[in-house]
Amino acid sequence: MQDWFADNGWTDGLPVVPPTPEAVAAMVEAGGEPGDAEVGEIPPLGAVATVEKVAVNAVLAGCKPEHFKVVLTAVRALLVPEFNLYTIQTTTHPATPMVVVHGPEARRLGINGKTGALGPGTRANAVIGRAIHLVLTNLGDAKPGVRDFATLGGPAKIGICTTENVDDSPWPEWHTTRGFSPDESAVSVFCMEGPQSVNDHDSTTPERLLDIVGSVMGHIGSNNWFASDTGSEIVVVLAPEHARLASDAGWDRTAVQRYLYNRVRRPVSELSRGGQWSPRTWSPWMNALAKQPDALIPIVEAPEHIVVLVAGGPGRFSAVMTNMGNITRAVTLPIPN
Amino acid sequence: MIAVRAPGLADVDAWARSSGVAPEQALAELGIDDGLPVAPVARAAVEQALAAARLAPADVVATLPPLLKPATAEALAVCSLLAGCEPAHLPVVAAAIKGVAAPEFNGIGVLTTTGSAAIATIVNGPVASAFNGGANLLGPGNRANASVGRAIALATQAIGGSSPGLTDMATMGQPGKYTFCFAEDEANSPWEPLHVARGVPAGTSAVTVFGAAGTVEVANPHAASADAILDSLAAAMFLPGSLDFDRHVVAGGRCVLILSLDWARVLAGEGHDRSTVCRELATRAAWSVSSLPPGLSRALGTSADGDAVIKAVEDPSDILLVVGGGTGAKQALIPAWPAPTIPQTVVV
Repeated sequence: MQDWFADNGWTDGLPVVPPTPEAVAAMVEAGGEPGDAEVGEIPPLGAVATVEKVAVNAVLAGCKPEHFKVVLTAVRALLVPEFNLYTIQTTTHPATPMVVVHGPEARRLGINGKTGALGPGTRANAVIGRAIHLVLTNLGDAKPGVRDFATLGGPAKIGICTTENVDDSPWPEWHTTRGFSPDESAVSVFCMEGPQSVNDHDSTTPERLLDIVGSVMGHIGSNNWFASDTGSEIVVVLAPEHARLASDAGWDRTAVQRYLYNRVRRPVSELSRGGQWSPRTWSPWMNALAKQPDALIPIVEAPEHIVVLVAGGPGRFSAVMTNMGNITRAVTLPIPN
Repeated sequence: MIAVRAPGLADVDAWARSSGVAPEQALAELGIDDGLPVAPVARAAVEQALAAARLAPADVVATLPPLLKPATAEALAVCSLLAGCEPAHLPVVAAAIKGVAAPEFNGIGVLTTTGSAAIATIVNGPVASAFNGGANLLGPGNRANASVGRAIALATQAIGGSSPGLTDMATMGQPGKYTFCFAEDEANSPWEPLHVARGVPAGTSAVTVFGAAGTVEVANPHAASADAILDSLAAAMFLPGSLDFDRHVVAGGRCVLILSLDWARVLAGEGHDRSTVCRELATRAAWSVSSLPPGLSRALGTSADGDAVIKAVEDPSDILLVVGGGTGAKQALIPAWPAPTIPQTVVV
């Protein structure tokens, strides 16, 4: 059976759980919606994802029925237009969605936001992320070299799902910045590549810590520089020890976002040398700046597009996820009861 | 307390007596807990894998970190099949495991650090034909890439005793810790393959294991000359977030650089070979210490004043060039975990 699924191109190359009628029915049941209810069309192919078809992929990925509402909510979030799933699915960039679960449901499902939050070791993280990937490849036909033109791709394409470390974070969970209360459960999807690791064992001030984080956010060659004015984002995952360094000095999440926004800039002259300056594709105000080599260009349009999450266990490694050179906006949807 | 008990044929026989599938409890006892489903393992498949690797069940392939446990061929075969490998993949897994176990690789560090280190495995030579070195080579979709990378990770758990949150203390971790294995596109590369450049005879298969901190995309659609390409690549290597304070190098002091076919052809067309590309990058990827974020340059201390130079690598050989990927001039820079870990190339 494993060979049959792999040979038909219905897997990511790893073992799958057989999608028996019983297993799929149990998944649909847990979703609380009819199996033939339409979730939406998955680009680029545009096949209609019904609840049942999403359930088949969730079973294949190894999900338990209890995970299914999160998977369904995440698929709906991916289909909100400002997320720009079509481009994410087909770009040559290694862009891929990341799923972050917020609120009590994340704890109830045992999603790991502590040690190894972005890596393996926890079923809920592994199978929810993987279910999303299988939905995107099997229903959207975003298969490598077929409709997914990622030149290189990246390990995160196997699926990445996590949550914040609410026990050790100094700040409210991120979904509260989107109007949710801490007691509400929600799912966010972010576009990302990487992650890149940020090693800082020595800083004693937020400024120094964030300068180091910022140096990783703004490397020459990053696609974000192509999208300074077209609406891309960057996700910064601060380790709790790093977040507390900022918090102990009186900084909240907004202060961190504003500092990074103002520090992560490069002059037009440098961006031109690195090739990230193509006047044809920039807005008029940026074309005007092309004549001013010393003008400093920010890496995103506004501070709120630097998404600051707190996750991970003890230790002083944070993570930065840069993005594709095209519009994409984080989408947060509530998990239905 | 971690009671490491490597899997073996006795487990396979026990699973066969029930449903043929390893029950979750058995996997938990073996410490196999990446969270993803595993494949059923048949005794015949274990025997085929051992035959493919020309190993006897009790042969010890390596002493596997982090707990320095003997990795028998039998245990490696079971881990590989659980991970989803075909029996024919065992020789590749075994070679990679030898690399991970080499003291210079510092598997104890790679597997226990709070850093985000993952084991990246590059496959070269005839055996690489089953692996993906083309479009999306770093992503999912190819069984050999996915299952061999995962087999290496599962072996470090079930045999070596790596366990998230117990011995694997990664603050963040990274998706590459599930699986991180790819091939070089030797057929379309203008140069000799990576393993040949590292001393393995042409026509022989080999794997190269690398302690990877993460992945960074490098693109510059306006770079049309070798000079502009080398400048773009060198500029991207300025990653102070992976500063190695002992060796005063950024980007971990070592990197795998996956060049797209487009850029490799431009470089080769202007007369570059592997050694000149690496030499140029090692020379160009150098900055004054004063260009570091202020706190970092101060932290380097008295040994580095403002005029001192900080580099991405100490030696050109610390850059491992791989040519591959699909359409598009997109490169991937994979900086090393910023502590001593020396890549290992092992013949399959």
